Amino acid sequence: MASPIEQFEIKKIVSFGKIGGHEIAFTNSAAYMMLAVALILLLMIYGTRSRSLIPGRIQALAEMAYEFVANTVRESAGHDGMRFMPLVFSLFMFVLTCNLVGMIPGTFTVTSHLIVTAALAALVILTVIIFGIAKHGTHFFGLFVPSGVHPLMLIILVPIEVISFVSRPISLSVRLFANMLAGHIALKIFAGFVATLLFAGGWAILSPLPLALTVALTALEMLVAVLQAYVFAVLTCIYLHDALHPGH
Amino acid sequence: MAIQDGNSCCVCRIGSCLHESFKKQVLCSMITGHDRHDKSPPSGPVSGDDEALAQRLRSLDARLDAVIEKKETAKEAENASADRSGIGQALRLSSEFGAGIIAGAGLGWGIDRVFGTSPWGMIILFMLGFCAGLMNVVRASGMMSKKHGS
Repeated sequence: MASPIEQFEIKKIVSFGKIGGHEIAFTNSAAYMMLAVALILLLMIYGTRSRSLIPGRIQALAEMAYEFVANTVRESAGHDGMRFMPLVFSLFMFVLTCNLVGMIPGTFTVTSHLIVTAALAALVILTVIIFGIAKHGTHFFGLFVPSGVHPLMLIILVPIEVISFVSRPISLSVRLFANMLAGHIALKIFAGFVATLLFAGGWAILSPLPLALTVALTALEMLVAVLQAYVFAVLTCIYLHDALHPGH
Repeated sequence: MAIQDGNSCCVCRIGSCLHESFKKQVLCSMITGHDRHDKSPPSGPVSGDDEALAQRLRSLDARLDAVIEKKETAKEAENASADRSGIGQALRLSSEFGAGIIAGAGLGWGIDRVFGTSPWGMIILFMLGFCAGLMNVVRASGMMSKKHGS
C-alpha cells in the first residue's frame, strides 16, 4: 500500500541555484499555485468578457463568486470593510481553487502545507495590524483592553487578550492546513483499503465497503474544501472589522 | 376618447408589466401615476374612473412590496442556513481553543528565552493560554448565536 503522506511530498521541477545556502527551486507546490491563479484569472476574464444582461454559465459563476464574497464582507466587516473586498476576494478564490484542485486524484494540494496557510494568515494579520495602527494610532491597542472592567482585573485580562490576538493567525492557518491534510490522508487510507482487500483472498468480498466510504468521504471533502475557504474569508472579515473599529 | 385611450393604455401597461421584472413594474406604475395627474380632466364620471385606477395602482404597489419583501426574507433565511452548517462551527471552535493554548505556550517560551525567566513565563502564559482559548471559544460561539438569534 502506498504511503498516505506521499501525496504531500514537495518535488523540485526546476532549480535556480542557491541563495545564501538555500536552494531556490520551482516546485510542484509552486506549479499548482500558479495553476490555481491561472484558473481564477481564466474564470474572471472569460466570465466578465461578454458582460451580457442575461449571464451565461461562466459569467453567472463569476458573478455568484463575487456577490457571495461581497455579501460576506458586508455582513462581517460592515460597509466600510468593502475597501478590503479585493484582498478577501483574492484570498477566498485562491484558497477555494487550491482546495478544489487538490480534490482531483493525483494532484497536489497546496493548502495542505502549513507554510502556505501560515503565509496567508500572516498576510491577513499583518494587514490588520498595519492598517489598524495607521488608521487609529495607539488607539488600536485599545483592542487589548476590554472596557468596563475593574483595573485590577486588567492585569490578567490584557495578557489573555494579547494571547487571544496572537492565537488568531495560528487558528486561521492551522485549521485550513489540518482539515486539508487530515481529509486527504483519510481519503488515501480508505482508498488503499480497497486495493488491499481486493488482493486478500476471501476478504475481497468486503472491498466494496471502503469503496463506498471513499465515495462518501469524497463528498465530505468537497464540502470541507468549500467550507474552509468560506471560513477563512469570514474570519478575515471579522479580523479586518477589528482593525476598522478597535474598541469593544 | 383621449380618456378612454389613456385608460386602456394603463391597463395594457400593467397587464404586460406583470410578466416583466419588478423594477419595471414599479417604474411603470410611477409613469402611469404621473400620466394620470397630467392628463385627466376634472369631470364627474372620469374622476370616478380615475379613482378606480388609482385604487388599482395602490393595490399593485402593495402587492409588489409584499413580493419584494418576501424575496428578501427568503434571501436572509438562505444566508442564515449557509452559516449554520454545523461542521464549520465545530471545526472553528475546536481550532480556536487549540490555537489559544499554542499561542500562550509559544509566547511564554519566547519570553523565557528573551528574559531568562525559565520556567515561570511558560507556566504562567500556558495557563493564560488556556483562558484565552476558552475565551476564544465563548466569543466565537456567542457571535454565532447572536447572529442566528436576530
